[in-house]
Amino acid sequence: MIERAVDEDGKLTLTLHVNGRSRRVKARAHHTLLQVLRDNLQLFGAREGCGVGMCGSCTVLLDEKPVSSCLLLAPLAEGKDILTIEGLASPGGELHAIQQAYIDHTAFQCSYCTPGFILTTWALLHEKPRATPEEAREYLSGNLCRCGSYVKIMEAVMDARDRLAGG
Amino acid sequence: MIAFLQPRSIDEAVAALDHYGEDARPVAGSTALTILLRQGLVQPKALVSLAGLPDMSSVQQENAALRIGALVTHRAIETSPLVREALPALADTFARVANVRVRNAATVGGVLAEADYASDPPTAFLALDAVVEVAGPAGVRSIPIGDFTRGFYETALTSSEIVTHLRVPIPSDGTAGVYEKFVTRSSEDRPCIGVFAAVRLGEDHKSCAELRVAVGAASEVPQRFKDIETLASGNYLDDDVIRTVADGYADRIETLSDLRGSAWYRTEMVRVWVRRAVERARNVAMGIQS
Amino acid sequence: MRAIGSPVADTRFVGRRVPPSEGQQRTSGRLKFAIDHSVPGMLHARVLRSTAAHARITRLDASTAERMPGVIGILTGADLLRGGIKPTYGPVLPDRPLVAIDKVRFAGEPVAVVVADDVDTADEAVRLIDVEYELLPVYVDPEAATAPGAVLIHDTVRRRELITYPDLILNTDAGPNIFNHFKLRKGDVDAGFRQADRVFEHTYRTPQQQHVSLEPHVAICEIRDGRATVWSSASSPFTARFQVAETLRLPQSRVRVVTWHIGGAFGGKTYPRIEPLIAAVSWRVGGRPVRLEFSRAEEFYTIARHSSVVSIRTGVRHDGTLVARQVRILWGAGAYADISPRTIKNGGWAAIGPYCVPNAWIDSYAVYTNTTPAGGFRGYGVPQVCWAYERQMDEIASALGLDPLELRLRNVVHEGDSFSTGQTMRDVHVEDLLRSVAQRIGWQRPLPAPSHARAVRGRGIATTVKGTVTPSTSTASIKLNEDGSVNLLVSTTDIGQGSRTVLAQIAADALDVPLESISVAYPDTDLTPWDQTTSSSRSTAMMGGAVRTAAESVRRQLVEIASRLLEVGAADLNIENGSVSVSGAPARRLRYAELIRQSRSGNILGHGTHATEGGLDPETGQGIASHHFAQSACAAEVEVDLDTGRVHVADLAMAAYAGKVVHPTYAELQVEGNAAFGIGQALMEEMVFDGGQVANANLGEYMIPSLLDVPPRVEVDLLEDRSGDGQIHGLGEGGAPVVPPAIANAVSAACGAAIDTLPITPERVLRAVRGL
Repeated sequence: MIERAVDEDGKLTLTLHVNGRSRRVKARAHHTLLQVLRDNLQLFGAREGCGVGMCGSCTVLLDEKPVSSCLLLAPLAEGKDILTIEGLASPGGELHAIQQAYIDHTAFQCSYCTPGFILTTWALLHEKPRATPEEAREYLSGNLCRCGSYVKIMEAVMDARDRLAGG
Repeated sequence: MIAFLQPRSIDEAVAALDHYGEDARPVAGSTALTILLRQGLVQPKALVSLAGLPDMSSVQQENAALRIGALVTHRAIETSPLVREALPALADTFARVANVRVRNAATVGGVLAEADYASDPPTAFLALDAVVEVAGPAGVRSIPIGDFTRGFYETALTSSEIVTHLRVPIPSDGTAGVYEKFVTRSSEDRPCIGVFAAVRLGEDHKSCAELRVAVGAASEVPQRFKDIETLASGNYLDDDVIRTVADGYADRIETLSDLRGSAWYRTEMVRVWVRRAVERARNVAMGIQS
Repeated sequence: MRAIGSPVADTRFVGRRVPPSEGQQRTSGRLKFAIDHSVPGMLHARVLRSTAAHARITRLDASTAERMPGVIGILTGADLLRGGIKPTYGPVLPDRPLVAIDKVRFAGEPVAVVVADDVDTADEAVRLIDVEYELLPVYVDPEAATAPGAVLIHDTVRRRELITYPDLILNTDAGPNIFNHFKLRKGDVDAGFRQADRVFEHTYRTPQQQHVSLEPHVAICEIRDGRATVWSSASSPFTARFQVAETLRLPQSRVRVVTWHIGGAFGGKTYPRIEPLIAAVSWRVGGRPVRLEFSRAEEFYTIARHSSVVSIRTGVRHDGTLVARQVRILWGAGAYADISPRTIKNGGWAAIGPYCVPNAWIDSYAVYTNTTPAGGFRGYGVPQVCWAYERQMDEIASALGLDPLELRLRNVVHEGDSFSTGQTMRDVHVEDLLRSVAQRIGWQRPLPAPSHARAVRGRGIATTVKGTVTPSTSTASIKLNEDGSVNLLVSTTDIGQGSRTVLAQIAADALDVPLESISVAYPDTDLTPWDQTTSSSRSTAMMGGAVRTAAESVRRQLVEIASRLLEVGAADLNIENGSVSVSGAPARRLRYAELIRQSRSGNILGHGTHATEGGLDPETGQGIASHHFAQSACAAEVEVDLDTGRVHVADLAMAAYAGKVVHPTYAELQVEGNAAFGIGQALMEEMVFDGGQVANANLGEYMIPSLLDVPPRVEVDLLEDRSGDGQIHGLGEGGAPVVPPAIANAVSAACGAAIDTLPITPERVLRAVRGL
């Protein structure tokens, strides 16, 4: 049977692997992963900013790759490893070097876009541990910061790169 | 209520789409479709997920062509060693699309089926004479890209068909391809115009044996004029020849107006960017740093 | 950072780069925004919006929608006519219906609001509401709306008995579709023009633009036992409280507005729009809690920046001295007044620029248009007029054969000069800022070679002063707890400017306690005391002042208690380092905690008010426009592609007068942020209207700057007065207005393209280069 069962509210039961844990949620087919994270799982770090994949405030990592959770239909997120900003710090609560770098450089203002930037920074440095400033700018160009913290964000990213490379 | 279907084979997928007719939508990367859904612009009764279909997720080299599965993401093409080796300009074109998040989700099949005019890959497909492989209730068929894309958001696909693969012939050795994407607003803007140019030099390594130029985002569908391309054959690609080609394209393309530029401006940009793309392709072919 | 004046004794926290507040939360996604909030049993609302830009509603049928399972109720104009709540609202003129009553005046105007069990149901129900419109003529720009024969968008201009803001000047009878007219008359402008050797006349235009705060407007309202609570993204909770109280016809004591962090405001959330609407919606369903969150598209139908047509006429002597300036501004204010009467006043008196011009005549008109209502937007009218006067300065310089920098230096205001409003300028450093950016952009240096054969380079410069709302008032309370820790009760919202860090620094220094012992409350109108607004770059100065005054009160009370307990006169007591001690006998000391406990005070509550005075004459615009002026300058170096008209900003130098910097990093962030904002206004941002419909209501079509659009390095020079008397000068807005004219001036210098309309698109440049 290729059609997924729905309950009387028209909702599917989905099993999502979020931040290392299996979670069962109920959502309609057209609900996005962003909606499920926020409404079902109370993970508020991913945020809606544009609804069209442009701003990056909704960024999560899907199998270590940054995606717009505002565009990903929730059922399509099954079977993948989802990492949200809440899952970046160690289980003991120790901040990741990237998070610490953002704090140390005050690389934010209103901070609405910050989780998206941090996760994208993680993906950048995961793919290119020796990313040059040009490569970093190119990779992060799809994350928008209306407050305009770009200069300090780049400082934090380069500092995080150096820290992770053992500097 | 929207049903969610997860076929495990192409036949199952086609049968599901056929069953629902116009009331079902296939979904792969789900970028453009989600926007339409959330704005209520489409109200399907069923979503048919293509994510589980086998043999559509890789890039293979077969008979001097790349056969790209419809589920391959933009990012996968951008970073594929095979594509980078065989068709680097195609990888570059995919690399220019939107942002890294969209590229991690959006698929080749998706960009083909959407037929969005303000898009980059279709321009490359046209220049490279790509062929779209489609599966439907009546079986499979191969559609040259020029016949596949018909107009604004309009393709040759029926509502029961899906794209399964894209076949891109690899041009002869020594062909240099480039993609120029021109944006008029932010760096993240969609193209005002995109030009894919490919140059193959003759045995003298100076005159042009083959020129291909496709212009996208300037009109409803990407445009290519083989009669203008052949004007370059046998000639050195100097300023005059290049200008003739560029002006030819500018005169022939009925440009459109949108927020990225007026029709007048786009015509001027056809002139400028066909010239720049051909110059760069020529320089790459000649081994000169552009 | 550069300083003038020699520094006094080191403060412990003010002036230092202390760690930002909530660093862990910000980077872990745990920072609380209103969009995260929920209330048990809350329902969900969705808005049906007008598809017509100007029309009479001839039919509205919500009966099918009402009957849908899961729909609880629908608010329509008919409900507003039944009494019970006030149908219209607005921070100055209450001219805006909560939902359209008989007429719609802009595309996207709320016509009905559906309340349902969940958002999906509400969405479906909205689609079932039937509305018919009888179309009326549509006016998108203010010139069309004020042309003879234009149909009135509002038949009467509604007023309110009380004037909501002390600095308001209202003159609502200046013509059709004009709802405020600000006048400034200084000297004798006709005589000035007669004395002039040359007279220049230009018209400049700017479009409506969007704030694009990444967090959209969102609010929840519940009304229980005659008490309303609103949890919202409001950036000024007391303006929201005022409005909700008026709407629900409740005393303010029975309206509570609660806010947390705001995901960007830029002026778009200073005055209430979603709050009175959600209050009416909750009222409609018997006070049950209802949540309303706007989509990005709906943001385009909620609030925007004023478009402008600025006609500027300037008389100069041959040597470039400005002798007369006459400016007429038509502001496209959208369909409802919002805060426009004030914005156009601000832009009005600012239209002379930071220059000594003895004869000035300004007419600034707020014009109704059938577009999204315009309100406060970073710069508050100054960006539009700065675009005009700084562009014209370059035209004048070019015509007179003068260096644009030199022309400006000849005319900028200095200490003691008279401003357009007749105000004596104090603590102004415009010349210093201009020289700073000129030097750092390399104004005298030869231009580097362009990156390709069809490109040219050029440099441009611009400067401005911007006021802060005057008069204005902020109040703060400090609660010193029995363990010596401190709750700082302030209603400033943290919109990204770092107020929660900065105000804690000020409080910690003023109370002489560790920074970590300060806990800053989130604004809650039941608990935190009144603040006028978080806007106008005012909070560090005004709320900072109130915090210091509150701290003084706490210190006085501590000394009073110590005096009693230690049996020593107040004059013999010292207060420092968290305790009070006897002068000359430091062993006789009591820590704050001990003072509180021993006196059985429970806690010590200190309150402070900080207020400024000022105001302008309604006929002449003369008086005190601003308590102090934000001042900034920008120099830009651009490369223009002559074949495409595309402008690349190669280098940007910004300078601002900070007065006194409380947190250097946050100060830099403001100026860097203004630079990014300014690049957006300059090169890419415009709301495009197609017959009254917004053609680009999403971020794929309305573009804001990305990382790649801002130069990798933005040089920021913050000038400070370290002498100890330094007046904090707000940095939130001064930088943005100067970026577009600096870039346009650079473009003009590079290729001769004189752009008079924003944004500076490649097409506009190409047409200008080709003389089309």
